[in-house]
Amino acid sequence: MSEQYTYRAKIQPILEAQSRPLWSVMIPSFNCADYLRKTLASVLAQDLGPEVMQIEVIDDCSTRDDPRAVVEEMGGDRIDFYQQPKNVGYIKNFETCLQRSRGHLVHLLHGDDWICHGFYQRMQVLFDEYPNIGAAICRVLYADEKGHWKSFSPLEQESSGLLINAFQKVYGGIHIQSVGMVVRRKVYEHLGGFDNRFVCCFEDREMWVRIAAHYPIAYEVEPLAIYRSLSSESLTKRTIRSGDYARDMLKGLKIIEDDILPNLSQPIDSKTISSSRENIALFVLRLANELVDNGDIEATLNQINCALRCSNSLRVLREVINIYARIGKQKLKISLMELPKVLSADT
Amino acid sequence: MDDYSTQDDPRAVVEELGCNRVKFYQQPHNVGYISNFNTCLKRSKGKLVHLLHGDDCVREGFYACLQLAFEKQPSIGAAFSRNIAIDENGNWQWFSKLLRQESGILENWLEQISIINLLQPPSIVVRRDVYEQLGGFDSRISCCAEDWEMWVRIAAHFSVWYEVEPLALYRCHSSSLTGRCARTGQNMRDLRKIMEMNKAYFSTPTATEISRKAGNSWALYAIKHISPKMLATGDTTAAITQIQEALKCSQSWETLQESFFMFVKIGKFWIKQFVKTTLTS
Repeated sequence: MSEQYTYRAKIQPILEAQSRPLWSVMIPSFNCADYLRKTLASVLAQDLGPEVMQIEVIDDCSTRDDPRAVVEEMGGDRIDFYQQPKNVGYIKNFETCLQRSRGHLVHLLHGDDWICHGFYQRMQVLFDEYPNIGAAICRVLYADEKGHWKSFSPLEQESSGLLINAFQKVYGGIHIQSVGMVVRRKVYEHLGGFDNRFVCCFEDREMWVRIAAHYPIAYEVEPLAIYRSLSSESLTKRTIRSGDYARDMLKGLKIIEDDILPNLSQPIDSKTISSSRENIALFVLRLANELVDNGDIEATLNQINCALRCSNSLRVLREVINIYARIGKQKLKISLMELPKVLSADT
Repeated sequence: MDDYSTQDDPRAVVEELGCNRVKFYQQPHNVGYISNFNTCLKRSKGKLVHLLHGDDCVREGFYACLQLAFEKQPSIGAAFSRNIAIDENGNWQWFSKLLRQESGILENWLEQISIINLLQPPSIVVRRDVYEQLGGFDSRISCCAEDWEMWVRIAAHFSVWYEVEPLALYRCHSSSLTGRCARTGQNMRDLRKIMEMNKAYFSTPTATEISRKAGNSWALYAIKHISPKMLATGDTTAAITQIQEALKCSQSWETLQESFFMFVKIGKFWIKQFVKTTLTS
């Protein structure tokens, strides 16, 4: 069965007659050549050889650095390099990665993330032990720009194996990052590529929910993949300030509610749906709180606007009131500080 | 180095996994963990000694990384890495905080390590001649933190290297502090003893200041970490003892505040228990 949705690219199947590697490590890159070295080193350290593992960097026309040079330096002929003829945007670049993959298991490894020793071995064990799974995820470490570990994703269950209540967990928002996710190519062929209606985020979350709706998922308890948080993802980023980030999350929820939830074999109750919306709203309001700390009132209001469209639960409303109170306090503080100036100007 | 295990067979495990690569020595009778550690040190023959407790582990690259540190800086007495805390099942729980942005010799290390213990045993490698010069673990310590005393002792005499990559795994048991130690408060008495010993490494005004900060750190640790754990198992005696002993370490405003909050929690627990017992009877 192949579902046709215009916003999802059709990933062309590979003819079985061709000899194929088991793994495709597809590395989308854009202006991250500095970080790419560590990414490639972590893959090469557990290279299974060209017959078993395809490694390819797909560059979306980087303007600030030279990823081709890094690939040649690190991998010589071992790593393939493809450059888009022009900048196509990150979702289309992901799609190119999926189209160009030839292996059975696809690892979409962003060019600024990296993996720990044993990643491919452990993930392969899960696919061998559970032939029906569509994907496998592992816990993820979060590192700062310099690569220092800051935190890691919570433990979802005590031991590795099939992820219990996978759909509820994935829909509910457990920590998944692309770097820690491996998907059978057949699954992408069946379900299509990433939804191109997203402009800056949540395209991966929507994909994981889509996969979990159709296939069992396996879970590895050890953190074996590392997601690098960049300062460019910080609160000063335009997409966060403008509310695009929050709006993409709301858009993603709607897409899931319209396209995925109605077709589930076991329907989801409305309480779970409200809870999911509330979680997203609260996440957006956490951003809003941090923006208040930065004094960025316009950006704060953009987040609040979106959060309220997402959920009107009591918790959300309480949090919104708190944030408005904080804004009020801040403005009052500023006025009081300026009062002496105003008074002395009058005299 | 087995201290006469009674519940299982470590020799069999060594034979199964180690073949002839891993040697096995069994104490003729149970000698206590500190003596067993000192036996490890005495029987070590290498230049770099890694005391790896039988429930901890290291990650790939641990030995190569730390060996490089000793090669780069031959004057260091010890080198340690960030560590990851794991639970009984080996699942990662948290990791130690980053002490330096890049691997290298720690600045002001003696002062930092004297205030609170910042490393765990599986993460540190010490030059054997450092143990020869400074001696083994202090046998006057009967319950805990003998390792902390050693790290401070080393820091007082040698520079120490820090590796930013988390390469060691330290297993936290849910009963890591036995009820006996927490109930009697021996753990806190041991800590006070060590804090007193550490004063010798500083001039008088600094020693007083360091002692005060350390007292505060350990008091807060007892109130915020140990006491709640004891309360969670229903051991209110131990929970209260920890607070009492903590107040002997420090009477800072923060300690007093935290003690009060913890007493309130214990009070609530008692009330709940009382109501439960009354309803069931």
